[in-house]
Amino acid sequence: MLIDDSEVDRAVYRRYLQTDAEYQYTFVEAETGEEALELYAQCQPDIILLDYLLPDFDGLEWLVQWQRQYKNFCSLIVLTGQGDENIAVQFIKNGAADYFVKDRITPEKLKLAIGKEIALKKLQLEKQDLFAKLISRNEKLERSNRLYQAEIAQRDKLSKIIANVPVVIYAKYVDATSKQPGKLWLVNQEFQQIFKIAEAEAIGKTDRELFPPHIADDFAANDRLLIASKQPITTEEEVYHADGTLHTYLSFKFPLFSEGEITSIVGMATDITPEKQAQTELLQSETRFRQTFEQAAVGIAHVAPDGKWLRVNQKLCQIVGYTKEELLSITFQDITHPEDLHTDLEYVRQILAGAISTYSMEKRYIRKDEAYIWINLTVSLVSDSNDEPDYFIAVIEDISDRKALEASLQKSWQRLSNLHQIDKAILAAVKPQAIAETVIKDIQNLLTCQRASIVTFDWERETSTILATQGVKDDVLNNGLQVSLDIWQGIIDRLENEDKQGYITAHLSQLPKSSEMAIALENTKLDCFFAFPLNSQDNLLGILKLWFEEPETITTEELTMLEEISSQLAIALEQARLYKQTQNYALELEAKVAQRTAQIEEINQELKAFTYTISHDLKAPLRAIQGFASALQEDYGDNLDDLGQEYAARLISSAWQMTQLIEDLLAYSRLCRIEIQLKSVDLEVIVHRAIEQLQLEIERTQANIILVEPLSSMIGNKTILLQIVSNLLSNAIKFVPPKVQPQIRIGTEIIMDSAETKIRLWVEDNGIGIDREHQKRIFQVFERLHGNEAYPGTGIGLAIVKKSMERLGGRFGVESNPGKGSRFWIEGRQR
Amino acid sequence: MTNVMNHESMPILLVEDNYNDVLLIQRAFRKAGIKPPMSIVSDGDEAIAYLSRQGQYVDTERFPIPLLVLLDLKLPRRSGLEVLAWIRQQPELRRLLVVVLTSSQENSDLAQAYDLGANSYLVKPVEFQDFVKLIELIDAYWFKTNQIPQFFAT
Repeated sequence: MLIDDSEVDRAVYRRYLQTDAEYQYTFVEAETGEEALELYAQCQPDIILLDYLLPDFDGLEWLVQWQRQYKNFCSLIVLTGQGDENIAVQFIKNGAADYFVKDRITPEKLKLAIGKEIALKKLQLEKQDLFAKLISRNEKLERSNRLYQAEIAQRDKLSKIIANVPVVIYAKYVDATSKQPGKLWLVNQEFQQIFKIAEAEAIGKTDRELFPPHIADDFAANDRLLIASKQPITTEEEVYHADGTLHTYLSFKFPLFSEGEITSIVGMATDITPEKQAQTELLQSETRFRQTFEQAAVGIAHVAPDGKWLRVNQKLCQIVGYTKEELLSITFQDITHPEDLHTDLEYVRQILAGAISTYSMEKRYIRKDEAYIWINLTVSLVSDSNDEPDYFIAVIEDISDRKALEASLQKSWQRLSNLHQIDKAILAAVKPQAIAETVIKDIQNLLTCQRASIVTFDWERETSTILATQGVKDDVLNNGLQVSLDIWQGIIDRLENEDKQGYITAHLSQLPKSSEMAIALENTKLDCFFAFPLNSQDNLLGILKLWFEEPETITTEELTMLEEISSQLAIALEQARLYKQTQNYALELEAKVAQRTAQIEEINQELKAFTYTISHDLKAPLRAIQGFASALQEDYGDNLDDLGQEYAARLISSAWQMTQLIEDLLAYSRLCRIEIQLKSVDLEVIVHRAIEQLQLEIERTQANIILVEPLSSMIGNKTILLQIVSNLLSNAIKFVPPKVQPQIRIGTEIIMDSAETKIRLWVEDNGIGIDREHQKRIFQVFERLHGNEAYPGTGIGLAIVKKSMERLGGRFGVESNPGKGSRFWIEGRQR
Repeated sequence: MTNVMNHESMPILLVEDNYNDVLLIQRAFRKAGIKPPMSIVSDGDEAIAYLSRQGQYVDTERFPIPLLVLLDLKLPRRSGLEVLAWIRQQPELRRLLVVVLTSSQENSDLAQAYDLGANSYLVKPVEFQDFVKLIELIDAYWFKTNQIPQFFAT
């Protein structure tokens, strides 16, 4: 770049330099400093020739400005018109390469200066280049070093990981020639810990040296597989821990290659014993469940919400008689009894709606063999994770046995009930015909028989009576018909010889042809009949016959029932017979009783008439004797001598005695007839009254009477008791030896006799006493032991006492010894 | 009203079949010093004939209408009780004084007699002295004390 305001100067410099043989120049020229600064940026010259004096700058100023503006400035040579040392020095100091004075400049000098500057420039460039190369090399080195460091750190980490991971890691060599696994060259800490082998001990050893032979063999087998396939393998291996427990490891083994050949096997193993155990347990549990499902004694099934069988067990197959495959292709609806289906589906609807969580019902399945079977079904619903119905668990229990039992119980009950009904009906009926009709009606309610008939036999008169017959079609014979016993003889003989079953079967042809029945029955289509004997205590009272169109349809059950009915019927008929007999007896008895009663009534009437006659008719002549004797004494006394007087007196006294006799007899007879009202009577009152009545006699005989008071009360009748006591007391006064003062004691005592408390009143005397042999006689009417002259009396007194006590429900007795007095007593209830 | 009546105006009808008793009764009347006109019939039918004025009994002079009937119960033909029943059925006789005089002490006779309307029931005593006393009592009571009803309204 030529920076000079002088065209001339610039041409000079151009010329000078164009002569240079060594370099070729390109010129850029600027007249002002401003222009020069701009151009510099554009062309970047290698060297600048600067005039000191410029129109707008002095050279020094421009230099400073240029240096400030551009960093990598080039060599600069200053050219000036006047030489000045100071300026030159200032330029050099500020970086100018050289300083020339225009006047003294030559082409050589200029060329040299520029050549020097170019060479310098070249050197500078070379140095710069070398320096850059050095830096680059250095950076490379540094990078490489950093990588290396990182790699080392990585390795360290890996080693630590390998050492510390809770996984067993090991590596072993593979023998290049034998292709067999060899010595270990790596074991991590887990390995060492588990097997309690230090790294130093393990390294360099083979598996056989470290583990029991069978374990090592298993390892080797796996290793050889890997070696052969050159592929990683995952396998389970078992090994003993140091504590002696056998563990299962999930082992991952992979090969390390060198130039295509396996050199090592690296293994990584995880202890999966717990998982393995859990798995085993799960398996066992599953097995158990499966076994439970499969071998349960009840049918179990999983059923889809739509009814399709999903899983069924063997028992269910047995119950319904289908194979598993068959069942799984149908639904439960297919094999449910139509009558039970509705209920079941209703339950299903409810359980699906969430209304119920489970249900149980008894229902019937239709087996493959088309028989139906009663089962008890219990169903619950299993929902999936979305709470949507997944499947039903159904438990199916075969209850056919129970149902059969129930049915049989029901049947038995029904039978008993029927029998009971029949019993009741039989018992309600009294007449044999009514009984028979009832039974036939009931039988026809119980079973289908075309014809039923009950016949009774009269063995004495050799006849039989058809009590009742009823047929479905028409009544052939009238009830109550009497037929000869002969026609039944065949059946009777067979029944008597039959001892295996309680009936016989017979056919129409077995009846005598002549019999009316056979003829009548020939019109019907009935042929076979059953005959049941009506036995009562070994007597065949008759038979029950039942005709069936289809006798083979009769069940054993029905036959048993009919046998029972037959025996009931026999009992009832026998009872009816006995009842009638009893009734007849009763009627006879009643008639007899009525007859007797009438007789007794008649006798009673006669007796009444008799006593009336006595009281009236006997008294009348007495009155006459007495009256006329008195008339004689009074009206004709003067005409009678002493003897006549005595006769008259005797007539009067005899009449009086007779009167007494009659009065006593009437009293006695009255006692027998009248109704007596019983109540408690105070005996003290009675005794006192009796003493009063006999006062005259007592005074006459000077009798001494002692009452042992207090005297009790007795159940009786006042009047009658007074008569009794009066009689006893009067006897006691009367029957004493002549000239003896009567000593009489009267008292009562309580007698505890069995259940009742009784009162005994006794009258003791010092009288003549009674011989034991006579003691009974004195209680009979007219029995007298003494002559009338010695002890006058009617001989009825004690009989009256005895009869009275009988009427009062009491007793009368005497204890006596001749000469020692007597003790008469009466005994009655206290209350 | 007359307290003391003349025995002549107090006829008695004695219905008694036993002649012994008739004699004794007549004697008892005598002994008692009472002498009323006494008609005697010996059975029930006769008594009814007398009272209903049939046959000979039309003659009231010979057979006066009695003021008192001494009626035995035990009679031939109609019994005393039947006669009594008959008397009480007759309107003009129903106030007639009827004293039953019988030897029966049976309660049934007694009750029936009163039921049929007897005015009194007396038992014939066996002892004659007692008979006399009884007749005296009849006189004292029925003729001297008792007011006689006017039963014949004619």
